[in-house]
Amino acid sequence: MLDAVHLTKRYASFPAVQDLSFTLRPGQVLGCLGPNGSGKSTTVKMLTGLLQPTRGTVQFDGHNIQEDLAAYRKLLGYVPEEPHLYPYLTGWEYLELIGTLRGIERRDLAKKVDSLLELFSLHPNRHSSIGSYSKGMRQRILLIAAIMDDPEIFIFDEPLSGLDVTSALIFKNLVQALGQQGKLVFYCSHVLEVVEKVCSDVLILRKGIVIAQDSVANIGQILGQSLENTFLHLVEDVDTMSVARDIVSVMQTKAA
Amino acid sequence: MITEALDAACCKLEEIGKRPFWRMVQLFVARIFRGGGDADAEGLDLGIGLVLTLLAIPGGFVSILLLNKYGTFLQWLRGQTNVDPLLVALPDEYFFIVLSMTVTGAVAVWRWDAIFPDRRDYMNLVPLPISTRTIFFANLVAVLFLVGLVAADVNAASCILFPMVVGATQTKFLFFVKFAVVHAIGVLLASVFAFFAVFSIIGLLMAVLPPRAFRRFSSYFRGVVVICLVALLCSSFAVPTLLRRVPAPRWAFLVPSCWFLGLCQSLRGRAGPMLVELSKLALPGLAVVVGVALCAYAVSYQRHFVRIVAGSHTLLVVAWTVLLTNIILIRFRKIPFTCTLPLFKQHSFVTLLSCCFGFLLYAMSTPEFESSALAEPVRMLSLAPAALVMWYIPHHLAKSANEIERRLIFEESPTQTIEALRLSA
Repeated sequence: MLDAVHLTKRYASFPAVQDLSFTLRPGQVLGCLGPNGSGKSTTVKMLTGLLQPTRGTVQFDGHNIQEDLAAYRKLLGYVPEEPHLYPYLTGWEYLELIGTLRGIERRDLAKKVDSLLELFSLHPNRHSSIGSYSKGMRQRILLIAAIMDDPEIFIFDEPLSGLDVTSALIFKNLVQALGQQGKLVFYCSHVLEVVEKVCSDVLILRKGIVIAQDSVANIGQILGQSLENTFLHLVEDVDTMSVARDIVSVMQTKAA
Repeated sequence: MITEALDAACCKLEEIGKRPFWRMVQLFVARIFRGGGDADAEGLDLGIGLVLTLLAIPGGFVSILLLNKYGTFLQWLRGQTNVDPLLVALPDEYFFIVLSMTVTGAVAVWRWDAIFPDRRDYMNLVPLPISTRTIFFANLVAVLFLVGLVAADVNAASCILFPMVVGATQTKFLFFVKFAVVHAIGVLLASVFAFFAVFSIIGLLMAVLPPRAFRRFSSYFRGVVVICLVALLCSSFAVPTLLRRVPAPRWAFLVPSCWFLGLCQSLRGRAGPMLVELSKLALPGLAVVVGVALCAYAVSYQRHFVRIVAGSHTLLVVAWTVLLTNIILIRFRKIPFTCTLPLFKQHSFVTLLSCCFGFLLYAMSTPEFESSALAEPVRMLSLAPAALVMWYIPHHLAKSANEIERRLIFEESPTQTIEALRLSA
């Protein structure tokens, strides 16, 4: 069980996340929604141990993750928002490196990497350098790197960016399968439809504060509308239709 | 039998190379040669082999050109007889020293962005089950490997060809061996010095400047370093002649290439008083540069990679530096009107090295404590008694030293014995 206990992160005096608490149970797929600057990425970085919270703790099975970060990270599969890979390594070399650093047995590693590359349709490009990969291919490499050691906790930060339709569909089904396997999945995204489809629960952030936290079904029922409308109702103070009309009118304006 | 032993050794090496730490060292070596910067696109990849070949060319090329000067037939045609090769070789020795320093320094400037772990390493390695300390040491090993490789490569050709050219007139093989060994020591140490000097500059800038300012001004600093290296190379035309003058210019003590020339000539037993004095600075200078580079590396790594709150961390580092500087300066006190500034004594050098080591230890051992203390400043108060004790000891020692000096020099109240004998009148 992963617990975020009163997490607060301040950058100088600016509070990025304030008093965030939630529990992620085995089998649960928790979606994290919020507009830009709402503190999603900061939350993810605190959950992965990349950032230390200013106040509060992240606990796994009752222990503060900062006490033994290496052991915690052994159980963690993390897909960051941006695929900052090593462009001079090939896809195979990168995965072999990550597998070695994660301590996967060598005889299992080669087999696992080959199978996953095949399943993610990257096998023909395995010996090309990552510098020549498209964004979607890099994202798939990151996904393989995150899942190859069969971790207990998965943290996905915008994992679908750049993925083509087929890969995205495979990934959505994969997330659901991971949930069914009893894994803990924290899924951060802007894409409401995906969160609605793959997540069992949802956490909505606004300006670093949790404004809603419940199961996807309950949130919709409480407000009697879809997740998209609920999100707009809770988070955005703007009339999106009116803004769209204004944009079109500015586009069509011509100098006299 | 030998083949089997070699195969076994190769297998063992391959096995070691696949261990996580050494796999990371390989990654960092590859990054230093082929990566760097935050761009995701592939840069101009020359390949390690080609880079090493290009670096080795100048030394070999210049050595071959020197055949014109040392060839016995050409000397005979010029009417030069009884030439002392060790005397004639001094300007060329100096040239090879500055060449090795310039080329190695240029490599460090070229790979400026790739020497330290960057954002890509942070994003890829920190979420893995390896400690940041392991990443620190793996990168350090990669940097040390790079220094050794570049120093050996840049000077490889000159270490063989130059002694062969100079010793062409000599009948004894021992002359060649001695000359080659001394030349190799001089140029290799000069190379290592140049690399760590540039490394120190990068590290200190990263430790002092905010990350954004460092990235913004990085190219300007690189430009300044390149100008200094070119100036050093150009000094090869004038410095050897100036060093032969009596008295030799005092500024030579500020030029590291002169220290290594002095070292070479001292090892050959052909150094004048000035070169002997200069040679004494070579090894301490090298040790100080390496010490400063390692400290700067530790501090900048902690700041940029472990990501501690920058402002507060800088304050702590400054306070620590002031304290260590105080401890060092206790040894360097000048006693007014009685003697000049004491020379760089052996025990003072040990103190300096101890301080560098202390700084390294501090940088390595305090990140977790600093992070937690900075997150909750009340915890910082627990440091206060220790800080007070650490401030009081050097302060007290300095005060005692002042008291001794005052008594020695300004003895205004004569002692009872002097009064009794009426000697003070």
